[in-house]
Amino acid sequence: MTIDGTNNAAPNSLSDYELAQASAQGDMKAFETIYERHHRRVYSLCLRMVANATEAEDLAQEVFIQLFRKIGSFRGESAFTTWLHRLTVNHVLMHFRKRGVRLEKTTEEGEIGEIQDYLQAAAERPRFVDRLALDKAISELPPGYRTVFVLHDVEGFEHEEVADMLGVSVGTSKSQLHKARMRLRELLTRTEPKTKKAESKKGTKK
Amino acid sequence: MVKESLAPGDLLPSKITEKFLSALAISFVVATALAYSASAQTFSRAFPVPPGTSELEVVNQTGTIKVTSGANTSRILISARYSENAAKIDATQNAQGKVKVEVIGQGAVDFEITVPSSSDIDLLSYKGAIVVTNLAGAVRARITDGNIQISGLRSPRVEAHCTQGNVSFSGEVLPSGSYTLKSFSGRVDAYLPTNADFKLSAASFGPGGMNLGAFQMRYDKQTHQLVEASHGAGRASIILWTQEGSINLHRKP
Amino acid sequence: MECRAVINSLSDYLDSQNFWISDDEVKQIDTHLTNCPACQNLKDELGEIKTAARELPLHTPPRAMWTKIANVIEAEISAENAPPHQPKNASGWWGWLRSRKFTFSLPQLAAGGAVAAALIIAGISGILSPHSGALDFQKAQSALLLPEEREIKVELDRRMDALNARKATWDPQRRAEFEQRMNKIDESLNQCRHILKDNPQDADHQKEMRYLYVEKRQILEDVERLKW
Repeated sequence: MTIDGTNNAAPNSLSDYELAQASAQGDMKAFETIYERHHRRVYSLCLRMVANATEAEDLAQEVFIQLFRKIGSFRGESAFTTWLHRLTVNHVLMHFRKRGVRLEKTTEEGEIGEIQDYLQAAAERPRFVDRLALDKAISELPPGYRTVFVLHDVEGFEHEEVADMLGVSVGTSKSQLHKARMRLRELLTRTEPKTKKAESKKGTKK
Repeated sequence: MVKESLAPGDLLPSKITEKFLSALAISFVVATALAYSASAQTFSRAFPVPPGTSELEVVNQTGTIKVTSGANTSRILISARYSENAAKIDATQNAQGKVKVEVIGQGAVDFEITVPSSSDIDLLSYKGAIVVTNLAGAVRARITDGNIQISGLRSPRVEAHCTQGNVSFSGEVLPSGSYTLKSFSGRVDAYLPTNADFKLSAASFGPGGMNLGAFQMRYDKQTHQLVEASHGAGRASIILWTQEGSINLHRKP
Repeated sequence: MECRAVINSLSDYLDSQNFWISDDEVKQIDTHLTNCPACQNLKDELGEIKTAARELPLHTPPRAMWTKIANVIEAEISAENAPPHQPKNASGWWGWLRSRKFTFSLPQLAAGGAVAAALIIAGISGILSPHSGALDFQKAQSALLLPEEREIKVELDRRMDALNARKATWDPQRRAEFEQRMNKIDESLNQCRHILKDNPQDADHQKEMRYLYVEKRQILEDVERLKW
């Protein structure tokens, strides 16, 4: 701890918990530091969940405003990032509910596609995951798959946590994740890297 | 459970006044042997009510609610069976004499309740069944998953609504009465007297359709899904709805 | 083990450090993968997606975002310190709405609101396409024009919000049943909207929609009375 008893401690050397306490007392500098530390994470999460930059900005703003109002209730019982994360996810989910965005139920037909399509040209394809392409593909997923994929694979929540947040069963969370990954693979396969090897540019018919 | 021995006369004071009603409810043990396994528990409570106007509300979670009228017009008698420790039953009476029975916790409770026939009742359950017989007061019954059976009614107002399950009603249709029977996914069956006088508003949005042939009605509107029709002078109002099930009118035998 | 079964289990297999599948099944899949280059390749690709997801970059919002946040917060702080503190929701139609006991009674609607209802439904139809990636929220908001429809939507949202706070404490089965029922109703609501988009005068579907809203509201009311 580096607080010297006055308000002169460099905010950046304080823990999130200490900054939270200070913010709760109305210390805007402390809150701004929290913002500096976490805003990209919050924004990225919102962006990946809603796939729209303007909305993501609005949502991230609302999250920080909500954070400011609630920050006094953070007791340090979990990591601050975990707490903030959940706050963000809940806020986006509430936004989805208000707007009537339904996170699809599991359906079995046609979701995974024909076996032959996957097996056919699979062996010849080179390594294919490019992060920009992945981000784009994520934004093209239907809301239900996207939410589960972002929460589990991108943000690292476990299925039990995802299921709890979305109000679904663990089984649903797992099967949505699998379908999301399969769909992403399909989307990534269609957008072939243009600058890469020319020989891999053969059309894959579905 | 407190065992008290009471003489029959003790239960019925000669004058039932407002003051009396605001006193605590009497509790006593019904002398019926336990027919089930040792883990079943019984609950029993009796409430004095002013004759001619009494109200009952029951909120159950899982289990059956059966309400019927008894000979005694000044008492509501509640008995219930439930498994040990799974549920708690809260039965209270307010200053106006309205009795409310509420189940706390998730255990299954089966109620058998006797009320004066003119009582107004309001029954809510999540899963199980609701059975109402031989009443003349207003009846409201709502269950999410289970059947509602209402019969022997001479009531001016009935509302029965279930989400999953069948609703069946058999009773008199009083002039300016209002009868609303709804089931999201099950059957709605209404058994009405042959000379019943009503206007009907029926809606069935599922494949089950409507079977209204039992009555020769005058149709104001008729599509596969919506019917507005009347029988007789069209005084009482009957509303029937199902989203996925079927609507069926029958003549009461 | 055949390809289809293996493919369906691949995510569990990749996440098997969480014990989603038995050791036996893992062995069976291992065996299959050794002999099936196509499935092996699919597994590798899914694995890459999983790994790449963890390495996705953080995006940076515009600098102006902080300014907006700071403004709101500062305004709130000074509002708290200012004298006559305006209680929320006291004024305007919102306050009127809250104080008024809202009863959605179908005969009432049928009698007085048939035309209004038609306009409402026509207004709200076409706003929410359930499958689109681009969600047209602004349009959705402004399309709920008439008081009767807006009221029930607002009321439902309010009840849903209150419920969501407690839903995490529910038994999972109860939660699943609730979600399933609400989804079913919403599906039917969406279908009605879709049809009313093309035929705004379709009285059957207008009525169906009204009944569905009432059903939804009843379920939410049950949750409150059952004290969940």
